[in-house]
Amino acid sequence: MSAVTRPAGAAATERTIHRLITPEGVPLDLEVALAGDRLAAFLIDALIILGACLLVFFLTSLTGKAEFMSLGLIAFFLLRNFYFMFFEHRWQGTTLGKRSRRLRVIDAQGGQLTVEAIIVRNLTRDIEIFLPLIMLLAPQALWPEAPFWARPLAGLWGLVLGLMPLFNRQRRRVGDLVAGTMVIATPQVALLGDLAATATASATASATNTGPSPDDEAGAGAARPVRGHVFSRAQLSVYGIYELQVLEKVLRAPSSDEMDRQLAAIRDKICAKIGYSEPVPHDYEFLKDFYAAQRAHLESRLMLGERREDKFAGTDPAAQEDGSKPGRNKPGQA
Amino acid sequence: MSGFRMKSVEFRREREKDWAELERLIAEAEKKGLQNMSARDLAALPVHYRAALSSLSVARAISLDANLLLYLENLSNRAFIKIYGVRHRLGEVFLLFLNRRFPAEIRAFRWLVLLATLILALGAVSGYVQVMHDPDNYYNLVSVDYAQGRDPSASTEELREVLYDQDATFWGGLAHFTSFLFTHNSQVGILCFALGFALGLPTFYLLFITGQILGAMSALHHQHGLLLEFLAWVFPHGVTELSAIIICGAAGLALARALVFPGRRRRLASLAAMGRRAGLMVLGAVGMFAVAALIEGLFRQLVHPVPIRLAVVAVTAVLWAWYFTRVGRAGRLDPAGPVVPEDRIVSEGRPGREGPP
Repeated sequence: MSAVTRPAGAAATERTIHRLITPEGVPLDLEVALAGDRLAAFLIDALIILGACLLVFFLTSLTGKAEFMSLGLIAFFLLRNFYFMFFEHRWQGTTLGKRSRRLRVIDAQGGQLTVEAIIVRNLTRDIEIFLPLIMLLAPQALWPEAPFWARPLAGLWGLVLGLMPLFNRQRRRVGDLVAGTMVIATPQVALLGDLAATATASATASATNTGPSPDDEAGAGAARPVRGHVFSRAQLSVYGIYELQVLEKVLRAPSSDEMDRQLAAIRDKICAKIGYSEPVPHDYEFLKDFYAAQRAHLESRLMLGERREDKFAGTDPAAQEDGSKPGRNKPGQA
Repeated sequence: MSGFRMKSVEFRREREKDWAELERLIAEAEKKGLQNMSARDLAALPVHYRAALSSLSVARAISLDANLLLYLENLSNRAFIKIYGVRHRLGEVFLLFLNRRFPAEIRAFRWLVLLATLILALGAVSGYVQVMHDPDNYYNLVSVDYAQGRDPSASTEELREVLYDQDATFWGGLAHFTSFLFTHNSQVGILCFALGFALGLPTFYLLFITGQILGAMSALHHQHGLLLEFLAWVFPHGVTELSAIIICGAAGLALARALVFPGRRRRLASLAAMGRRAGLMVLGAVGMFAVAALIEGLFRQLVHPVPIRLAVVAVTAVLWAWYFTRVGRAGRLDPAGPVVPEDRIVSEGRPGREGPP
């Protein structure tokens, strides 16, 4: 299985999502690449181009012949214009720099990434990089007799072209707009164990014996020496999906002394909140059981078409009294 | 075996193997590339991709396991990218481009090509008239670097010397000169196209001043009675080079038109559709700049008789005219080639209909 490149189970909150519909009709949420990552990738590529050019110039100047010097000039032109095209075609929308930052070019509409899109998105690099740079550093080179008011205007215009990615949510630069492409981040997420599958606990409808319960006979725990914790329906109606997934994150974190203290604090909080009074021999096992029971409960509600987003949502009377509390009281923050 | 009978747990238990298999296929494709995968793996990839998409849809509906959802989302994304990545081979695209797409695009954009030609011609007339009227205007139109001594203060002899440059006969200098011409002109042409994004005004400007420089220099040589020699000096490569500049200009104007008058499409969709077509024209123009630079760097410096130079002008003009008007006519009837961006973007929001490989 592939390596984890992000804290497992955690959805990074700051990422921008680009939703596209695949030709199969399934919506996919892609993570828009961060501007900083793209800049880093570009700088890596630029350094490679620069290094290659210097190398060619150095080798050709060794020969000292003009024919070979001109080779250097052509090499510079080819590298400058075709390096990106070559790699983005060859490596499915990535270059050396993009690979190192795990970025990738895709068609913004969700279609096939075409050769001409790759060509076009790289033809506009001049007006995005060199033109703004020249305008900032040496405006007189471009427009020698510019009137005094024109320089700042031209500089501003160059900045707008160069900083275009910062002006739209999808971080598309001019070339992306012209070619209809965009750059996404492609982190790899590993599939971790299913917490609910290994839990020993069960949920019963013991408190409220009315209504159907899918988990009636659960908890027999034939393979387990110890019968797990049992939660009532009312106790499972306190929290919502948000709290469940925060709890998942906590349970998936690597164990440490600090973590153990947090687990104890969370256990106290949950017990107080749902009114669980039986003895708790082991914090982690208790929380895992609670997680499994809570997930089973929420998922069974989900299948009935009731999606309870967090503890403030929903119609359960048990949750109503907490609604007055200001702010979110996450179980994960202890 | 836990006593739980949660649907999401069972669902995961059943499908987990498929996901692992897809992950292996993706890793394989990343390592070897799609072309080098075994036939069985290649055939399995889209099947497992669709299975993963279906798993994702189910998981979204029944599971609250955040890690599982994120994983499936991520797995589907990676498979999607593999399947809808670049598929066509460069050589294939290149050939199709040369004998069909490029001339067909030029014909499709003929009004913009005409407009660009007109702007260039207007610039030339304006430069010519200004310098004929007052030779001092020359200094305003042509920069000192570019003129390299060819200004109103130069004598007829000096001007003639440039036209029949005897020094540049050694091959090294020629090659250097050629590569400089090629890279410089191509870069200007690419700029001309890219500036179309700025609503086309800079493109107009670049075309116009290019024309002005040409006009001003013609006027200068005319005043010294060297007009024919000058034209025979400029146009052997000039036919090709000016055509390329005009094509880049037309491509830039096409971009600007797509931005300003998007028609019934959304502005960005219109820009993207036009951008891909116009960008190809620029690439063709870069090829033309290479041809022009070869003519300029090698032929012009070595062959001096005016009649031969004029003959080359005629030959290149006829060749390009033939290429742009006649070649690839059948291409318009055959939209099934691999390069058909246009109709893909017309239907808004509806992504490509090409299936996975």
